[in-house]
Amino acid sequence: MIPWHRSIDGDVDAEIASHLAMVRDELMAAGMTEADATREARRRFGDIQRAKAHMVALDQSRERHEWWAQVAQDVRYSVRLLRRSPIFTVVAVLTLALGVGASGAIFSIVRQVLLAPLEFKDASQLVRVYAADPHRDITDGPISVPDLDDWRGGQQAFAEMAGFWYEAGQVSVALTGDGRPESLDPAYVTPTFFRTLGVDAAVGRVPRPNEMQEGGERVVVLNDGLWRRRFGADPGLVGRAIQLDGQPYVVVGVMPPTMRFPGTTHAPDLWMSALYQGQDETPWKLRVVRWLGVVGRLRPGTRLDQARTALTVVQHRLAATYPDADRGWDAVIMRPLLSSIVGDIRPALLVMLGAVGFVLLIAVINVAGLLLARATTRTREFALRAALGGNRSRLVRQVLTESLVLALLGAAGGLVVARVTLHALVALAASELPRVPVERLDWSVVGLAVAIAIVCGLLFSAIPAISNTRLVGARQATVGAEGQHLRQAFVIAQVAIAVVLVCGAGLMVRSLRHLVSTDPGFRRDHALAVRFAIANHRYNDTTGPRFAATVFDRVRAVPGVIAVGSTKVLPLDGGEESWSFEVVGEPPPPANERSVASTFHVSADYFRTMDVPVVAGREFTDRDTLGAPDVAIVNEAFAHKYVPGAIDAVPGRLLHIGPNPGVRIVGVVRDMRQHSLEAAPSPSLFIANAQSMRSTITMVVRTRGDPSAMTAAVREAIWSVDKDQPIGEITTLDHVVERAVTRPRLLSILLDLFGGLGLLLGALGIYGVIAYMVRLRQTEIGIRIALGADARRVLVMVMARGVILTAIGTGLGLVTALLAARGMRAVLFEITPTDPLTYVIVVALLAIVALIATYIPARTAARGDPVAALRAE
Amino acid sequence: MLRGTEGPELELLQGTLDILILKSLVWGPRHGYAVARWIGQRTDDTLLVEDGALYTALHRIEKRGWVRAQWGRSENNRAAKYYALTAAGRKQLAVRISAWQRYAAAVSRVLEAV
Repeated sequence: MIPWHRSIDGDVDAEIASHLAMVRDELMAAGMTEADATREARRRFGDIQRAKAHMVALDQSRERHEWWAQVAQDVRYSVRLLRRSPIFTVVAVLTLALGVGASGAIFSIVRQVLLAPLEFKDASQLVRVYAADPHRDITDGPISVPDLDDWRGGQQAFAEMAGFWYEAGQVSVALTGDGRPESLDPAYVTPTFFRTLGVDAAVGRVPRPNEMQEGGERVVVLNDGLWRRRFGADPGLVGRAIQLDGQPYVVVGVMPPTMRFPGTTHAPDLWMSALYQGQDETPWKLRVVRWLGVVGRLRPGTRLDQARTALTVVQHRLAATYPDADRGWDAVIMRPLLSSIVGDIRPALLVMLGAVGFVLLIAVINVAGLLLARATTRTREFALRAALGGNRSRLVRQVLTESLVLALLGAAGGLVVARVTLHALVALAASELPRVPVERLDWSVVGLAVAIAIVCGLLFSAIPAISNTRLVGARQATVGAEGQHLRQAFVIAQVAIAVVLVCGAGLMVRSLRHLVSTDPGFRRDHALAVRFAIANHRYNDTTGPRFAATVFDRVRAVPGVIAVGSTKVLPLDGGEESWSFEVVGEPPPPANERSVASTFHVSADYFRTMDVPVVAGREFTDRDTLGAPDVAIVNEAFAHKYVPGAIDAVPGRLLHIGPNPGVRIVGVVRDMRQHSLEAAPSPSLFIANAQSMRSTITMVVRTRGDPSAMTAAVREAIWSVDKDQPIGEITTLDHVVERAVTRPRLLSILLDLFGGLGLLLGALGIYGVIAYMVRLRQTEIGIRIALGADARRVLVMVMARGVILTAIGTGLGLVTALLAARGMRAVLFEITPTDPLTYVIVVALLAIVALIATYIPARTAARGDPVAALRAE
Repeated sequence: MLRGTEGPELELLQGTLDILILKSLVWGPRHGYAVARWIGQRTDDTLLVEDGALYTALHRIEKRGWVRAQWGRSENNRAAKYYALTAAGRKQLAVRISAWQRYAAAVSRVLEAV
């Protein structure tokens, strides 16, 4: 167990043997025979084994004690030394703290978001199941209620399966009663939802399956946030009824704050049975109406591919039995629930993890370089201590202790930095993180920081320990030269890593600029967007549009308002409907295929309000109402894909949409980016909201002045029509576009920070090594100047070294960056990871920084006073 | 631990052996056997210290920091471990001697009382 055990044992044995020999010699000198003398000596000693055991135990205890005393002494000495050079200490500790802190914070997030199991019971058994239509490249399709029943009953691979629907802001229910009316985002779930997930309520209970079937009492489960915000976290709410869309629903429970599913970055406000998805008279139970997402729990021991095979058999049977509804839906796709939830953010987080890895590396190399410089300047101290009889292992231990103390200080600082960074990151990225992040460091991170500190400490101490103690007594210049080689290697590595980090930041900045300057297809400034729902229990298909028209008129009358229009969902906000159709007069699509377009319900004047040009025909007007001929507008992408011929000929064509035989295209509008800024516009179909009403409305108000200043006036205008009308989110189109680039912007900011840090550390490294070289060669430079060397030539001579190091480092860095940037492909927009301009800019930037870092010490050298330089020696 | 060679055993008080050892080292480092021999001589072998006990005591004293041990060569050129008094050991000896003298005087006064 204890390394010195063996030597103590031998020592005690030797001491006893020496004693016995001396006694024996004396007895023999007195005339005893050797055998008798030996026996007598042993007799006088007593119980040798017992005495030996005592002695060994005492010695061990003493040495252990002395060892710790020495450690304490070493630590005290190290602290004293570190305090004597505060600048070195602060720079080293800060550098380490930044490296450890940044990586600790990112690692915490990666661990909690990407790696930690979901907060459901046996979460590894949970999978997301999607219907897929290989003919149309649909890999994440929803299914219908009857299909779900057949999926559940048709196989044995799943212990349970459930359907759900949730789209933030797409459908809302109005909460009335106690206080202001409020519009809430519900998740609609099938009866087995909670059982499948194995999730329980934090307060109260989850609904029983029978409570979620038709004929049961209406029950609802609330989100923790809503319960706290609206009901003051009153546990007595459980069992009471609240008014939703004018109907009483009994609150049976409140979900824990970590429960967001089926939401990801946001939780639904409430969970209710899918059968209440009766808004807009949606035929939610028809087999042709695909709207449910599916989550399933695999039977223990069942593999993903087995389950897929089983379910594919069921789906093939459905496609054969119900061709109208299931034709083309030939495949089933499954993903573990965890990866379906975090898959989206994964590339961004991994890029961050890679970046902080480089930051940590450059920090460690930087500190190693600092320690090396320090060690070489301390050569005299070591030589002196060795000469005064300090033994070598003691010196090594002293250096080791010093490095470990430094590293542990860095790690401690790193934990503080990590905590602060984590807090800030979570606050910044809350809207982007698909799981509720825990704002604390877990023990694995603390362990990681300490492990890094110990490894770094050993690494740091190896350098000066080897170069100094081995060379104790040797010529000092040798140490300097050897250390200088190592330092130059460090500088090359620092420059290389800085290049990698700055390249990463550069790529992201360029990508973000492309993204931000992408034309969304509508005018983003001077427009307010107001979401509200026309409640089904208060308005019908006739009165609803009339109510909306009245509201628009009132808002239009507000001074400063230029135009008003509405859409069910705003561009870039997602959640559009997907409709299939046929263009009358065009050949039908091949079997198994259908023409599909993203479909939006918009009002008259919508395109004028959005400033989207009408390319051909006209936009909707007040005359396109229920009873008037059904009309539609398409975008250019639609016209190009589905209607051959001139754009001007598109208006007037007829569409078959579902059972409706004649919807006439009246106009073609310029493409907008509907899904995201990244995705190219897809074929879109616009339907007049007055003819096919959707209760969710996002009213767009084009204003003359600052749109946010109009918020109150617009709200009052709505309430002047109906004082009980709940109003949802009010925002600006600018903000809607900005929201769409939150993630790349965040990633860009962080990579910029890391790139800046890398650049700073790299510059410090170059500066340090050149400044040190100048100091080492002070005499030589002094002589040169004394002999009349041109100051400029000295400058060039010194700077050449810095330029060579930078050039080598940049070359290595570029190669590494080209390899590492491949990992960024998923987060880049319209920029390839090998974007030449980025690399050119990075090299130029680095060259400038490196030149400055070299120039400062070089100028000092060139200006140096030869007499002073010579005298210094 | 300590036993008289003749007559009844003399029980030594706890710590007495420590004093004797420290005292034996006042004139310079000695190895364990020399310490034993010195004690034997000074007490005319009234107290014959069992060698095992003596060495245990030496190591205990070393652990307390009163002596420091180092290997050296004996007069017969044999490797032997030498014990030297440390500053702390010297101080300890002075304290112990004074305590012992007061103790002995007190006990003597009691025993000599008529």
